[in-house]
Amino acid sequence: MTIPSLQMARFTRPLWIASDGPLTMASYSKTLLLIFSVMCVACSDTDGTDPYALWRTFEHPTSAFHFHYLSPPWESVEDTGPERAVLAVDPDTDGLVDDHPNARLRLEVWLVNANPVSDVVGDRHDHWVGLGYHVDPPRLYWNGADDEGVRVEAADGPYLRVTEVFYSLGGRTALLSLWMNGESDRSDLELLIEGFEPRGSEE
Amino acid sequence: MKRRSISRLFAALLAMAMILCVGAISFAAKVRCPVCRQVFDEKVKVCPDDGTDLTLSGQVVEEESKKDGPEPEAIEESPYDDEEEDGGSGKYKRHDLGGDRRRIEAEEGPVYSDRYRRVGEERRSPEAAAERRKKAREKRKTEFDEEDTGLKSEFEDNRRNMWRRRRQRAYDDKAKAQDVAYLEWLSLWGRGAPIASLGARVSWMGEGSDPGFISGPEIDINILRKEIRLGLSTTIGFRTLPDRTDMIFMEHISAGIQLPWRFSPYLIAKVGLGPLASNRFGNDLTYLVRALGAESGLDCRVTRSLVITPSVGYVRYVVDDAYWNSFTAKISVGF
Repeated sequence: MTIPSLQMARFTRPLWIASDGPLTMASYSKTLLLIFSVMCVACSDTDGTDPYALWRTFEHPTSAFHFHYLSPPWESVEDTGPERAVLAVDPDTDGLVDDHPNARLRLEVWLVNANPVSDVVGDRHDHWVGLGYHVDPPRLYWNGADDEGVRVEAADGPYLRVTEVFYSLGGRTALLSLWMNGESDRSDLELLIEGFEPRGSEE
Repeated sequence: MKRRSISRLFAALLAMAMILCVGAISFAAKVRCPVCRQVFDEKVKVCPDDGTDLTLSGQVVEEESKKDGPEPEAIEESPYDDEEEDGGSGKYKRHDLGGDRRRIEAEEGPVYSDRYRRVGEERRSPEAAAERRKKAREKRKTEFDEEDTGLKSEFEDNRRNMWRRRRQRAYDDKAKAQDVAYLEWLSLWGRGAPIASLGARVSWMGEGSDPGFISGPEIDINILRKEIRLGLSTTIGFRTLPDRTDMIFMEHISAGIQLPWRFSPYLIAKVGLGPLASNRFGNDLTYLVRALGAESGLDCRVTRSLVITPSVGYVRYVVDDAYWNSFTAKISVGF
């Protein structure tokens, strides 16, 4: 069956068109199906202009905090339960070691049952100094949601660097520790750090 | 001239009278010219060959045969054949002059030896001959001029006709070519969109506060069927962000309608698919981008093989479950 409105079977210019037969109901239906399929595929509900539009969100089980990570390249490397997230970029098959993580980037986020934040910062300072890192003095930091926290930078040589952010959550402290080996895109790392928000969506 | 003629006439009359007198008193005898050795009748006073006065210098020849005998037999051979034997001048042995030979073949050709006698002096006049030659030349010249004038006129006519035909043929060819060109031009109008075009497209895929400007070249191939317009297009774009640049490669198919004319407006729907390459956290990542949009433009046929097409449209980019609604614009040059 042909479609009269689309049946232009008499082509005076054969070079203008690839096919020389009339459009049939079957081909017409297939075309519409293809168009509608593409339109359905094009349906989405996330605004792409959001910087974290293509990122995934890690939500703490108690909604104490959440953060965004882009996967890939980030992938979970340790099964530490829902309370603690450990992710890495380009991890080595040899596994991770605390003092010298065998990956290019390593991210660890968890809750520390200690307060005030200064006590946790002191403990982490001692930890990195013990590993030979040079730790900068802590400073105030505001994330993307304008939450106030404390940020500590540490480095061991020109390539090994650590950035940790602490937020006070009542009697606990939310901690993000980002360990870097080598050069990386600083803007993406800052975006990752800014996306760490101590208050969950339920709060 | 007249005086000389009169004197000659008088001399001729006197000579005739003398001949009559001499003929009357003497019987015919044979006389041999001492110069040409020709034998003549005694009546001949002057040798017609060399003008020798036979009456004074001629040698009397005794007749061997009877004078009143029958006429000499006609001989087959030419009277000139024994010319050498007789010491030449055998041609003058004519019977009418007392010789023993007579010419029997008129077909042997004219003998002009006696033309002085047969042709008057007027004809021998050099002035008359020059006049005749002059007249003949003038006549030939006149005839030649007339014929030459005719040939020239005919040549001019032929040449004029040839150039007229050439001009007409060139005019016809030119008119025909112009008609064909005009028809081709109109047929190009009827085509509407160009078969292929190369253009530049801009669109946006923002990230955060940055608009994420995408720009790049695009190649289009259109498949036309009167008002129906299908298309394939390939775009290579660069998404510029403050801290990185992504590359996007999109392949679109389009379908729509157009109004074929020299300036052909069109409206098409487009769907596309392609990878978006980006570098995040030091890693090269590739996302699959889907696009859906609509576009409207105007194909402006500037020349036979040049079409400039500005167009604007809407496009929705989708990556995973994120979308970007974007305005898009394109300017292209078609062929």
